[in-house]
Amino acid sequence: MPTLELESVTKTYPNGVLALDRLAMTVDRRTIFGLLGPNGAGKSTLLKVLMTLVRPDESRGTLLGEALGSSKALRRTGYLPENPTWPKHLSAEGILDLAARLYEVGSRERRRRVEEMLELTGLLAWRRDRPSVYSKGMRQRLGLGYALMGDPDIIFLDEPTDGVDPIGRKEMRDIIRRLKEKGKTVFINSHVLGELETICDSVAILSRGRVVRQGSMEELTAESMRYEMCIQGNVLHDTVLVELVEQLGGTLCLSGAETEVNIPTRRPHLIQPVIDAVRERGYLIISVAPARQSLEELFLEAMQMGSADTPGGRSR
Amino acid sequence: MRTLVAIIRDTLLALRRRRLFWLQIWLSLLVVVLYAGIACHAKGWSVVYGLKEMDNPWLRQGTPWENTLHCWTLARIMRWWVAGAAVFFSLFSTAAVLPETLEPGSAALLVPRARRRSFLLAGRFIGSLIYTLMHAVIVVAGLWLALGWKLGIWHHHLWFAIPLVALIFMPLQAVAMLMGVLTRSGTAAVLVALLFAGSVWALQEAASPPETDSSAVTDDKDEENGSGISDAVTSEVVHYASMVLPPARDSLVWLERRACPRPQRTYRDLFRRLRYGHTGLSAAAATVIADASKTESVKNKREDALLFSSLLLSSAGFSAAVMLLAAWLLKRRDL
Repeated sequence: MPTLELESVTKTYPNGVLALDRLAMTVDRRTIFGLLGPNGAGKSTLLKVLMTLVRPDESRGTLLGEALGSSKALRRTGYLPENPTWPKHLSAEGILDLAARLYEVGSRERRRRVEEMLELTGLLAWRRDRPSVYSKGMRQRLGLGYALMGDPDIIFLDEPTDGVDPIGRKEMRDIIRRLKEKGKTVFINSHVLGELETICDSVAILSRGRVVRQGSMEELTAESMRYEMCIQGNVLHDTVLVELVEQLGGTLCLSGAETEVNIPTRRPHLIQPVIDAVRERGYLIISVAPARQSLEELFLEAMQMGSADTPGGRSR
Repeated sequence: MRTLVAIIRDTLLALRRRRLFWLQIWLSLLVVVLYAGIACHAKGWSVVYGLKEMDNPWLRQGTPWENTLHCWTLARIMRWWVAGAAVFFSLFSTAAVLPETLEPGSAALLVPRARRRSFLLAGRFIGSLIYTLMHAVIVVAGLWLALGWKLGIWHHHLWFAIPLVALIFMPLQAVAMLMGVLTRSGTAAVLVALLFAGSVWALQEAASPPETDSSAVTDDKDEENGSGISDAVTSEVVHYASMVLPPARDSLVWLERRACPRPQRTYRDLFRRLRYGHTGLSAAAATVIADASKTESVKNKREDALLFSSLLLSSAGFSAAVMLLAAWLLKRRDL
C-alpha cells in the first residue's frame, strides 16, 4: 500500500484562484519523493491541505492508510513548513521539547528524543540559544528536528534548502538520506531541480494545480535516453554518414572543430553500424557516451506540455 | 489531554517572556507595599511607613476608624487594581497570543501537531486565564497577609477576588480571541476587547436602577408621543443587552461589598472625620468616594452564594458562547 495516495484534491482560494485541480498522485513507502513545480503551481497548497492548514473543496485519498486530514494519520506525520516562525520565547531545546509534548511523548522518552534530535541536526552546541541567532541552515535543521520529534512514518519538507548555503544543503541532503535508510518516506517540495535529481527516487511535476508528469527518476529519464558521439572534424559533408544517422532518427551538428552526433535510443547495438562507418571512413571518434535528459530538461518540457494542455487562466 | 497541557504551558512560557509580565508584578507588589505602609498610631495616622504623618483626633491606633480606613483602602485596591487595571494589563499581554499563533509561519508549526484547532484555542485561553489569576493571587495574597499582620483580621473572603477576576477577565479574553480569529491582529483584538469592556460597562450603568424619583419614570412611560416610545424601546434594549452581556459591573460591586471586610463604621463617617481632622483630602473628593462606598445591610451567606453563582454562570456562559463561535470560525478558516 502506498504511503500517500491522492485520488482527487481540489482547492480554490476565496479570491477565485484554483490552486489544486483534481490533483492525483501516489507516493510509495520508504522513498524520497520530490514534488516539482514553478512558483504558484500549488506545491505548498498541497502540503497545507495534507497538514489540515487549508480546507480543500474536495479531498479524496489516503495518507498512511487513513483518510486525509485524520488526526491518526497526522500523528504519524512530520512537517517542515516553508518559512516557519519560531517561538521567540523558546530555545532550540525548548522548541523540540514543545514538539515532543504536542506529540504526547512521555517525560523520560521526551528527554531522550530531544537529545537525539539535537545530535541528528548538529545543534547540540547551540541547544540553549534561540533560533533568532541561528543561520538559515541551522533554522532549517531545527525545523527538520521539529518535524521528526514524533518519529513519523512520512516527513513533508516544504522547500527545505531554500536560502541555505551549499554546505547547509549538503548537510540537509545527508540527513534526508539517513532518514530513508531508517525506513522513512520523505516528501520534498522544491523548485531546486539539481538538488532533487541527486536525492529523489521518484518525482511528480506540478503545473497549474495538476500533475503533468510522475514516475521514478529512472522511468522518466529513460524515455529520453540517447547516445552522444563526438567525432573529430566536420563530417556533415559525408552523405553516407549523414543518411545513416538520420535513418536512426539522430541528428548531427558542428561544434567548433568537432561534430556532435545524437542518436535517440537506449539500445547500444543500434549505434554499432554508425561507429563502424565512422571508423571505416577514417574519422577519429573522440567519445561515445549514453546520455539522459536532465531533470531540468524534463521539467521544462513538462511545463510546456502543461501550458499547452491547460489553456487560459486558473481562475474559476 | 497532554497536547492541551502542552499548549497551556507554552502559552504561559510565552506570556512570561513579555515585559508587561514583570511590570505588572512590580506594580502589584508596589500596591501591596503601599497598602502595608498605611498605619495608625497614638496621635493619628501615617502613610509610606511613617514618611508622612497626620494627626487626627479620631483616626488613631485601636479605634474603629483604623479598621474602617483599612477596609476602605482595601476595597479601593480590589476594585481599581485587582479587578480593574490589573485585568486590563493582563488583557494587553494575552490578547495577542492567539493572533501570533495564527500567523502562517507559527500556525504551520502548531496546528498539525495540536490534533484539533479547538485545542489550540482552548489552550491559549486557559493559559491566558491562568496567567491573569497568577497575578491576582500575588496581589490578593499580599493584601491578605498585610491585613492580617496589621489588624489581626485574617479575612478569607478576600480570596473570592480570584474567581471574580476570572469572571471579569474571561469574557474580555473570549472577545479578544474571537477578534484574533477573525483578523489575526493583536492590536485589533486588544482594541475591540477594550471597546467591548467600555460598552458593557456603559450599558450596565445605564441599566442599573435609576437614582431619580420613580414616579417621574412612570409619567414618562404613559406618554404616547414618539420620544416616550423611543425611550421605552431603548430602555428595553439596554435591559436585555445587559442580561446577555457578562456582569462586569455586578462583579465589581460584589467584590467590594462581599469579598472585602466589612468596616466597623461607615466610610461616610470616616471621611467626615478625615475632613475635620485635617485638610489633606478635598471635601468634594471625600464625598464622592464616600457616596460610592455606602455599606449595605448585612445579608446572609446563602444570598451571597446565590448572587455569586449567578455571576459565575452568566460570565462563564457568555465566554463559552463566544469561544464556541471562535472555535467554529477557526475550524473553517485557511491558515
